[in-house]
Amino acid sequence: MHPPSALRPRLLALSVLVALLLVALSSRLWYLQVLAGERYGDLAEGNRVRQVVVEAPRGRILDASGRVVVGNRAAWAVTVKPSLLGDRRREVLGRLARLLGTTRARLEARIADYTGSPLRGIPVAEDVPTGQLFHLTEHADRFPGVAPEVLALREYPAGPAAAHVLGYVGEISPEELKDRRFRGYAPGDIVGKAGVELTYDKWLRGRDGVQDLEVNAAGEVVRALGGRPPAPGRDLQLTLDLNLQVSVERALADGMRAARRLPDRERGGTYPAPAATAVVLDPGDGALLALASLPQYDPRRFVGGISRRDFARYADHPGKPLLHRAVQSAYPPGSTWKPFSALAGLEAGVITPASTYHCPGSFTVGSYTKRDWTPRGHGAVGLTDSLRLSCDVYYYNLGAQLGVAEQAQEARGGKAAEQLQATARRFGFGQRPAIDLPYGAEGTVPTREWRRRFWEQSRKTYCAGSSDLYRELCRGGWRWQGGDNLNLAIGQGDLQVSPLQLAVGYGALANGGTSYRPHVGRAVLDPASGRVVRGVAPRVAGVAEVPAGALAAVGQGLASVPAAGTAAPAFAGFPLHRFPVAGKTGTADLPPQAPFAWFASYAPVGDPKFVVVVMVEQGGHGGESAAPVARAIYQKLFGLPVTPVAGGADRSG
Amino acid sequence: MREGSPWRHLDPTVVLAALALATLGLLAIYSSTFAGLRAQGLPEASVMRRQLLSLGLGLVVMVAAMVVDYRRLQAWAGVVLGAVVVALGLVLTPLGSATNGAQSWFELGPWQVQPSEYAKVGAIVTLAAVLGARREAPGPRRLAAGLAAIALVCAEILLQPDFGTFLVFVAILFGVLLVSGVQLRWLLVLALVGVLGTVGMFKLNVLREYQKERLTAFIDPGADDGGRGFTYNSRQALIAIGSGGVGGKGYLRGTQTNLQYVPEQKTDFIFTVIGEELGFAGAMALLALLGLLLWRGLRIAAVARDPFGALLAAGVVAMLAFQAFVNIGMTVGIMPITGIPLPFVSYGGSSLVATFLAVGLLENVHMRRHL
Repeated sequence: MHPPSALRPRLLALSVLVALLLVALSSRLWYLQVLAGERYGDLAEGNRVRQVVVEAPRGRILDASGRVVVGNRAAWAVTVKPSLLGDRRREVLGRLARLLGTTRARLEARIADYTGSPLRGIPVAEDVPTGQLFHLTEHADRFPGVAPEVLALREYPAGPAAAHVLGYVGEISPEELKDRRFRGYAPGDIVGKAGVELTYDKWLRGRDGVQDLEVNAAGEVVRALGGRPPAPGRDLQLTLDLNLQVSVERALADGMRAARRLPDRERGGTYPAPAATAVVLDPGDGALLALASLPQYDPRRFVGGISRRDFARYADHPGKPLLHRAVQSAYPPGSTWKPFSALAGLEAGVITPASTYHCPGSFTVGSYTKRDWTPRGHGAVGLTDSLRLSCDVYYYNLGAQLGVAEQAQEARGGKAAEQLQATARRFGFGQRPAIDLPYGAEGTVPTREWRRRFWEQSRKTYCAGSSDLYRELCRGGWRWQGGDNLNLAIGQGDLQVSPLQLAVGYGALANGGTSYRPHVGRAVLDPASGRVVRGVAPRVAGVAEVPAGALAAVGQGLASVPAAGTAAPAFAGFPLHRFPVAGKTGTADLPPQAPFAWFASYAPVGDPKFVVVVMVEQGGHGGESAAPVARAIYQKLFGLPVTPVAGGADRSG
Repeated sequence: MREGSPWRHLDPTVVLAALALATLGLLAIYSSTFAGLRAQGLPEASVMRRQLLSLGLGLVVMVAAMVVDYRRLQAWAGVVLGAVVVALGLVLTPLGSATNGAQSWFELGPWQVQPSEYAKVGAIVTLAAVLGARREAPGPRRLAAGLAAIALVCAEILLQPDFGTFLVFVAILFGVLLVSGVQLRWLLVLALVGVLGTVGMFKLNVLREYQKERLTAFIDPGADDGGRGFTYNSRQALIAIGSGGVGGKGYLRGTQTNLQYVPEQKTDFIFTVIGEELGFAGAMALLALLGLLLWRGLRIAAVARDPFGALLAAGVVAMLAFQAFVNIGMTVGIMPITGIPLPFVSYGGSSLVATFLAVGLLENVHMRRHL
């Protein structure tokens, strides 16, 4: 017995319906699995595998003897992502402040101070005790947006010593990302911002590794799938000796303090001496043994990202602690320049080692009178004494004679020989030194061409001015005048050199004319084995061709300065017979400021191992403020007991 | 078996297809649970073994449902309906327990019983009995009686509330009505009432918030679901199935499955295991088995000796087809997420036993088609 045939069409309808449903499912599955299967396969793989960047530790920085100057340490920090705090910000930060034993205002200040990537959590507390970290992880729901994090931090076992040489690191800036130097870097990368951290960045930074992890839906790691291990950064060994560096910094600080007690007769009061710098160089290979610049910053403040407030404090400080004066600043060298003038005179033949000038207290050329630093004068002065006594008039004569010759050359329609400038350039002045530190100052060696170019640039200002001086400059400021040669001969006027350049120049004086590229990096080392990956070989920067005997004559004069000249008070008691020092004091005038005190030197004479240049900004006379610092540095270099740096009595130029 | 015994007329295809589907289910349940169980230090097959027990019980129930002539059930339809109404009423009292926001379970020691699963079969029996009582097509009176019975059951289901199961009842009603020969305009009216009712329930807050969200998530997958993850569910299910590709990733080798990316996988989303690990081939095999079973069911409806038998078979087919379509449809993203299990395959004792009960009734109709 069958159901009524009336039901047959209805059953057929149901069958068709069922078939349609199955067809719909099949075609959808065909699309998902056959046509789009690959895309979904990728999505499944993206679900399964999570890539974690394993940060490569940055290389350490060691001193010449292998002592760690900059190391790394892992620190447990508490970070906050403000975007996750939402409307619970007050509540959560208040709770966090109570836990960390600080105030909410301070946490807010840390967050406001943060300058790094918005993608990262902002560290608000470092070196947090484990108990507090446990509390945070256990009560994670009460601390949304707050997380404990391990930070790889730079560590400075020696404190702020050599801060300018070391530099600091920070997050790469948008401008740096565009720079060719930083090609291949990614936003958020930590890069060197100054010092060797910057110049050796590509060695110091490692290559971050990648770890592939298989994670389940709960985000738990099921297993590690492999990946690429991080390649730690290489260690950098410096030529700097940390002991020496610390001594040099101490001597400089003492020297500044001593200068501040010296009366400034012209301006009244005492010398302000707000800053000072020193360079210790091995003339035999260009290695910098110490490089100090005061005031300096504390690199520890930059660890983990410097706060806005701290950076502003450094940037706005009148002493410019971020400036590496030894390398990045240029000043008139004053009388320390005289050896180079003497060499120019010897080469041009305007003087001989034996020739003398009468040295009264002043020098007049035309209507123009220049005064020596002592109105008494020195009588008849030869080359040696001109250096020993720092006789300005000797060099005025020299400069004037060269000037006369140059005028004659020009009058004949030729080009002025510019002997002073030519000699200067041979010793590396007026050119950016090829040093492995950033932003080395080029300095200025003024020439006729330089004067004209400078005048063209500044003419508008001059001609808009109403003072007599400006009116004169507007008209004739392009002209190289007799006075320019005189200024140049005694290291004044527009001449500017950096302390580093002066050290390199004195190195060439000591070394028979050969100068080496100055460098602070000695070798890049493999951190695991200590093997040298890349050594910094000494490279000759230049060989100054000077007439035979000229260097010896100048050297003789320089050797007499600490023994019996302007630096003699500073070197009183120093065993010059065992460790003969050759040097030159300098007192550079930069009115209205107090004079800048210089001492440039090398030792031991005959077999020079060290060049020492000291400069105290507005420290008064070179002999009284700079030479004593240099003496203390030599005492340290030669293993002698270091006597306290006190202001000397010499008031020479 | 003696000559003329109904057992001689057993349709083996139906039973074999059902068993094959249940076996696929066991394999998929093992695959989806072993990793999680291992992580918890539990026996890897423990969940699968529970389903195996349910399958055993289901087979017993199926055989039992074949023993007595189905026609005798017609007289007992009132009792069946009464039992269903009472059970669904009791589950709403504190005797019942809730999961996923629906008050739908009885806890009986280690076993959980979901009366709504059996109620589906009960509704088929009741509807078939009322609408198939005479040879001629049902008139308004019988229609009203059938609708009243279903409405009562549906009201109880919606009180749990279990929107998905409610839809299954609507599908059963539709299937049985269609085949009963009721005038097509009644069907249209019914469809209209169904649509209006659904919209009304949405507007009148009969549905729980999460049920609405599931539907909204389907309509607008980009919408923020407040972290409840209905779009997440559906997305992970799509990834699992799609990434299976043509041949699948291999049994027990599905990454979405092993790493538990698909929530509710062993129950509502069991099809994703087959899609991911056995690929398009496996999914097609499953659909083929389903199609085979449904085809046989429709055939049984066609050869039944009386309208009651035919409607019984049609109801079972409607139930199975609708559940399978909605369940697989939601895993492949063409249907909203509703908590409807995949018959034979999803983990769940009540669903499995009730489904085999339905298969037993189907066979019963086939076995006695000549008597």
